[in-house]
Amino acid sequence: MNSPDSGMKKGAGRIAERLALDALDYAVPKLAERAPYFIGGLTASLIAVLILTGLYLAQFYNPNPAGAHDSVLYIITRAPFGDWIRSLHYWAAGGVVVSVTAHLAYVFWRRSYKRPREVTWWAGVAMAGLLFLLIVTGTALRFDQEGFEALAHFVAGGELTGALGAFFTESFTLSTPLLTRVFSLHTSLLPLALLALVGLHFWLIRQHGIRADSSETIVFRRHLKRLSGAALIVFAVIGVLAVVFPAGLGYPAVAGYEVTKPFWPALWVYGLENLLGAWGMVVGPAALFAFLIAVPLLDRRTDDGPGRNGWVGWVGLIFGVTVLALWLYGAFSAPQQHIGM
Amino acid sequence: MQVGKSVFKRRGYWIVLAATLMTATSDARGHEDAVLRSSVSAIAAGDTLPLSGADFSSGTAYELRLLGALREYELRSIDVGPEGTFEIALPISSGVAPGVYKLVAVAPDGDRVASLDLTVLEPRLAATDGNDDSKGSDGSGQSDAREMARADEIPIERSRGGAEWGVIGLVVGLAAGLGIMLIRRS
Repeated sequence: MNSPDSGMKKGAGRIAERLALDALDYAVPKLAERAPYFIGGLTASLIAVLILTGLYLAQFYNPNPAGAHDSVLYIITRAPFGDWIRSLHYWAAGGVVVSVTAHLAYVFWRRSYKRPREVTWWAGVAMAGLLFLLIVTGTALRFDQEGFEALAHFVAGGELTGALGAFFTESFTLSTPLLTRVFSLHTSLLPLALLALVGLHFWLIRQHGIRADSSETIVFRRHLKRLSGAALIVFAVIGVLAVVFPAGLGYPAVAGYEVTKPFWPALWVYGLENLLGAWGMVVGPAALFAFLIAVPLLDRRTDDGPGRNGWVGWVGLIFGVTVLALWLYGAFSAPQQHIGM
Repeated sequence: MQVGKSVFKRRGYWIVLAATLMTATSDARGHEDAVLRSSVSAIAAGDTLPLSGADFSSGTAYELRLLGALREYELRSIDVGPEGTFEIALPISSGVAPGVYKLVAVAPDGDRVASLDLTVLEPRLAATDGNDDSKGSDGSGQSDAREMARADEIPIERSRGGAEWGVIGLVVGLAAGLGIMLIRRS
């Protein structure tokens, strides 16, 4: 008689055959087993959590300004698992900011943006930009005082940037409230663009491979197993955080006043607004992302070693330190008026 | 029609049969027989809503209620005429919180027979008569509104049932256990 173990193996083998899982048995550098090489994959798993929890929340959320705040309260207090799932969404959003920043910084230091991986880098930078937009649009959906002020900032930023920011102005259309359009942006256009870029990013990594100096390899399926394990543990951690520190909600908005600060990932922009006024929210992110896009074009050094980015590395460091300083300034300064609401 | 024994041996037919029976016997409570109509879809609390109804059971008294995500208000009852119609001016109390609601007509047996989407807006400000309470100490109303704009969070009573705790614990525990197992085995 066959043992249960061999029976399970047979079953797994049949499933693997039908799903063509052998295709995952290609070689990747052994250093892919090291923690820094998990961060990109963990970011993807957090994005998956955000999509699944977001789909659930969208069943209860009302993007009509008259009902939005009530519907969030409904999610927290009455929808089955609503409070936990919303808090998972909140913590996964925070986690994705940490992981994408760490991934970007590590790839920058490794100089993995060098030929032929420029497009892989640009896809990553574009994803970081989309995640930032997803976070700020998500904040607005709360439609409490903080969310309302975020929407008011969209309008102010849209008006400052003219045709570029026309979508975010109230005059774009009178047929739909801005909150409803931001909801649609947050739940359809931005996630679709993000998923397309994730696909491109993964495909390019598959084609170009992971940049490594050593010739030692392992099978990708083994890397994927470890990565899945790490992703599940991260999920368990945010699951606990979502119970212990659930996401909050402010009071219904009172129009015309700026009394809140944004969600923590946007605090550096808030700090810049303290210094430059409303233009800070346009200039800061634009400068940072313009630099990130330009990195593969600016770093012309033929020496490929990690950490030898030359002056580009120094500029990157200055950007990093500046963002950190602005973040601290934004976090600890007194609330200020930026857009003359 | 006689159905052969061999047909029932096939699982697919059982599934189709079960689905057909479930459809045929399902509760039809969601269906609404009557209609509520209004010329407005949004109204300020304290105003009066022009409302008419059709296809109601004649001679029956219906209860009009306002159902929101978090709140419910009983408004008034209506007596439907012999033709199953009515036309009234429905006062929406100034105490109704602004929000998105469904105005529903409920039959004496508790069935919801008609509904209408309605947005309730902030009450209109009272005409200024020199003693306007909406004004702040500077007489502009600005300082009161400023005080109402709050950066802090609402204290929310979060309560979870035992089953919810159980499911959350199970999901988190399974994720952690499976994660550790996958890392150890690879």
